[in-house]
Amino acid sequence: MTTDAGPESLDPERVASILSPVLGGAVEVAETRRLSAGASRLSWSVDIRAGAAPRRLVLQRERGKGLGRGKMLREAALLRAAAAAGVPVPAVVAADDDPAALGGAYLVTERIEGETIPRRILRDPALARARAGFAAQCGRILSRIHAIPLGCLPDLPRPDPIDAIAEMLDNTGQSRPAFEIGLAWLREHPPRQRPATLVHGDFRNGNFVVGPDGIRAVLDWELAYAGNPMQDLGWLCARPWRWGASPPVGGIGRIDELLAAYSPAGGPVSAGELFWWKLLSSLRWGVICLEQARVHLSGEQRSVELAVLGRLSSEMEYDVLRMVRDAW
Amino acid sequence: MRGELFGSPTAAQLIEAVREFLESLGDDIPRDRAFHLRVAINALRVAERELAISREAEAGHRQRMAALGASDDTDLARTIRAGQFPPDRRDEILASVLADVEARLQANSPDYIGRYDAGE
Repeated sequence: MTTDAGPESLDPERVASILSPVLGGAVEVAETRRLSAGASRLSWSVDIRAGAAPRRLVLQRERGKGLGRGKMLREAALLRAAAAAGVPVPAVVAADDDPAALGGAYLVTERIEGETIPRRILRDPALARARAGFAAQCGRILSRIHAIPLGCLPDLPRPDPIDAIAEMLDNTGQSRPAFEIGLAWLREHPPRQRPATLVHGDFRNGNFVVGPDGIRAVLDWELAYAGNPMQDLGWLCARPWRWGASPPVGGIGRIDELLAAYSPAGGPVSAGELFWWKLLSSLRWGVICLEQARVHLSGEQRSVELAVLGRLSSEMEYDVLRMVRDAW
Repeated sequence: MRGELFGSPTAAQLIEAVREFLESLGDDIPRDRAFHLRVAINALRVAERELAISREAEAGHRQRMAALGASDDTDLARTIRAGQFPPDRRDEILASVLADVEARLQANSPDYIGRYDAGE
């Protein structure tokens, strides 16, 4: 598996050579195992011995192209700032944007044990207590993320959330009248402005490590930016991240539990405000699906999974139109 | 659509045969490939459903475009982006685009509307 040559393999000797200077001594790589192959990154679990101590790590390496590339040092800085603010995140071990050492920019963190697969988090009896506190815990974590002073963070993009979606849609070369209707409604009904904060950008069931005690880590900070913090709430509550379950917060919890634990700058969150950000989130996911299909069709990364996402985009066209019809 | 030049098995029947073969692989596939096998089977189901309804669905799409006075989706999308649709025709445009999306979902995700209405 990991001894295969090629762009999707990981050389254990090279991994040892990047880790030994960081950990201060000889490092032996005991086992590497492929975890996932995302559109922009590959990841492996890596078990090492550094001196006498075994350590369990995760190594992520960028592909050449795709969403969120060339930003491993930035992500490491975000993880350190989040940890300092009391956000549960894996500790950073090493990071580099130079592709020379491993064939792509990389980020190595400690590995936090727990469940990450959304449908298991929804159903596993062992996680019942985690589910009972899930929405409130999300609210507390988001309060901490959104309270980190931007001055403590690396430079972050400040995209207009609507323009960013329109640009991504245009870049796919596809025409989707349903998404245009959604964009028009969002522009005509601007939401309440709030002071810009750190926005995680992909805060949802699927990017959490969950144990019986609750959320142990928030992962995947590669889409982080500075902007209206409500984006994280809308995304967390968006239909695709409920995984077919009815409860509005990640398919697990209630909105009132989330909002009771969340205290934003600029006053409480209204139902209308949350609706606007949920609509934006369905639209954003639908356009990301088209973008993933474009990555496949262009040959940047051939993948049946990315191809099918292009068709699943029509689920989000339906969401957007139903939501606009209810709101017009 | 279906002429006699290529005869049987038709394109749809070939896709069906490949899909049945992939479904028969089951546990012969290593665990780290099982997810993509399910995705691949689903991709073929989408293609099968599209081929079964495409002639009628495309005709419905063309009729709706003509009723709106748009030449195609690109034209309609551009008009909406430019804000050039009269506000009093909003409901009509939304209903027309929704009908297109419902037709697409019949191929892409036939359970979706039922799941949406069930609050899932």
